[in-house]
Amino acid sequence: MPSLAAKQTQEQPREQKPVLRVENLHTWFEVRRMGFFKAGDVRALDGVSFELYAGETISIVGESGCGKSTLAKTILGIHHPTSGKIYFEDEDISTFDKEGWKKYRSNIGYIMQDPYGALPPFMSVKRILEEPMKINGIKDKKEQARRIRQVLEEVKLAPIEDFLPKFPHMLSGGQQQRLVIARAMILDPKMLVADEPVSMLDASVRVEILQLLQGLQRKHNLAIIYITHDLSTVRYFSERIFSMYGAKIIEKSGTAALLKEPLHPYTKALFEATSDPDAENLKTFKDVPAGEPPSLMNPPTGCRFNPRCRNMIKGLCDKEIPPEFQVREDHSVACWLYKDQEIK
Amino acid sequence: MSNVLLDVRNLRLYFRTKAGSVQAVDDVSFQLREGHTLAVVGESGCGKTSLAKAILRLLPRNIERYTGSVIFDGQDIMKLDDERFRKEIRWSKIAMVPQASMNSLNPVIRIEDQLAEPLLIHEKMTKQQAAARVAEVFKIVGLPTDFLQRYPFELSGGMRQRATIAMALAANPKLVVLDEPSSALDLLTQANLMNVLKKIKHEFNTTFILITHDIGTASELADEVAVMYAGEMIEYNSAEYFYTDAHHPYSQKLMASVPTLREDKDLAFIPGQPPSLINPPTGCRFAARCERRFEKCSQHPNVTKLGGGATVQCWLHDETGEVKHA
Repeated sequence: MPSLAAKQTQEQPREQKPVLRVENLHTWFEVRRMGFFKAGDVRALDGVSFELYAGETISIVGESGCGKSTLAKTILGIHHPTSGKIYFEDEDISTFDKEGWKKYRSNIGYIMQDPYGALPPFMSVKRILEEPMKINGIKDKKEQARRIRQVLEEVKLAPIEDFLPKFPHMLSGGQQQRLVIARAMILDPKMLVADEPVSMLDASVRVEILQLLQGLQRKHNLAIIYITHDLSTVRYFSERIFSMYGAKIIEKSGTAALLKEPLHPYTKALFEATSDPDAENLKTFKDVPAGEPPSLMNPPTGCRFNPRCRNMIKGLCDKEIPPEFQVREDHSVACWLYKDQEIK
Repeated sequence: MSNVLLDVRNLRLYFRTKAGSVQAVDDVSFQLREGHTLAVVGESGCGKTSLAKAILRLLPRNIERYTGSVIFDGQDIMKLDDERFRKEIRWSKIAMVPQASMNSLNPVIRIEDQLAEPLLIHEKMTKQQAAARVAEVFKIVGLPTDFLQRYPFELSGGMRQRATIAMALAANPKLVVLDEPSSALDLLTQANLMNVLKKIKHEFNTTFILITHDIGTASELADEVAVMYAGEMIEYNSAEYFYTDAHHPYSQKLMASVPTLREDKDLAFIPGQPPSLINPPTGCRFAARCERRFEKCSQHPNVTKLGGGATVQCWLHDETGEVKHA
């Protein structure tokens, strides 16, 4: 039976250099009134730092509007950071010229949430896969054909000849997402950014796609950023989990440690809100905080979760922004509750 | 034991298309007790929404076949003409919250006026009565009543979804059909919404049909689970047993593919795709993807009644309810 097991975390050889290093990244969008006067900024990303290594997946979880997709798009160069730096293999991407950007983008594959929206409806599978190669100077027809064959085999769209002339609408949802993955892989990238790659798919297909991505990662030693709101899939796919709230990363942890014991009250609430199929659920109410995520134009002072937080400490949580406390070797949390539990 | 509120027998809904007849709902029968919630689960395109629309008679024009009986509260509502159905049944007795309904509120009409409209038309209430009732249901779904004077764009997604549920509840229907009520919402908002629905269920004994592909969320509300596959209801089971001991091989596979947060299990997936609903296979529709198929599966399986009101449409369970080839 085809199946997918939880990902085994291998010891990270940390002597190697990170593929991607993000330092204190801020992405703010200016809001204008009447198209002219500056009304303020939407702080979509507010001070995010991390490192990503080859062969590793980082899951970023959080609700809509927390900045997960802005993070992905800033890394991809679709949005430009207001401040902070992104280093790809130790090169600062803000110093890139046109050629540098082209090379950088060919090294990152992007997998979007809605596969149908991501595929041009008037292009055949063959053209969809040729397009990135044409743009990036792979002109040799034989090489093009070889690569197309290879990626289609890798994403298991077989028999290949049947698929090449097809148009996106002729494919099922799962096949469309495979094609999006094939397109992301065709330039042999070092890194993938997968923004909710399975949330639009049915449960049975979802597992298939996650398994496919796991296989590709192992084969090509890919670094992957996996963005999701679904905590129950992260176990199968990632070494580390970052939890985001109000444009900040509030908890960073190894997957196993976080699934065993989430620390931040918000991550705990996400856990509580996730239902596993169980007849017992019928009898109990969920204990989740009411309210809405904060406005990013005018975020609350102090911890951004404090207006919804049950453990709020008056005079501290609503005044001062909590720093990251390292509570365990692979677990840090930005919450004042853990200020005395820091290991040093 | 409470009364049977909804008794659906041999319901069929076929659509006419250029390529042929699409058998979206094919010979579906089930019973639902008052105050119970039935979760209808299955992959996209399996006929979940069509089933809901067939019950509420919200049909497109290209109908080829629409037969069977829907006995609601002792009355066969399939026999009513369209005008009587509209006046007597739809919204006042059976309400529906369609998929993505939070985006279907009229943007230029205040929430209060939109919610009051069905009351003015169906229940012949005065404006004051309607306003009072709207405020009441608004409180039930947990929204502050000062939001009534706002326009839909001034509410967040979760609030708008609650407003549409309030609208469905306003006329005090006995049965509410919820089509993917929470799938567009964030996790915490979704959990809050399920709490609200649970509260309504306990307090008002409202009967729900919950259509969803998210089995985890469905388990928050469901007393019974029905699995649809390629237009047919292949299993109907009590929620108490379904999650752990589903009968149909497809249901078992479906459960094995659901990732769980608290339990570390290996996930399985089902290779292949569901058959086309135009000219589906004559035998069991799942046979081509089933690991346990045998000779008999080329014939169409009968619905077998099992203990506790459960039914399954699979040759592995014969007429006596015994499991063969286990």
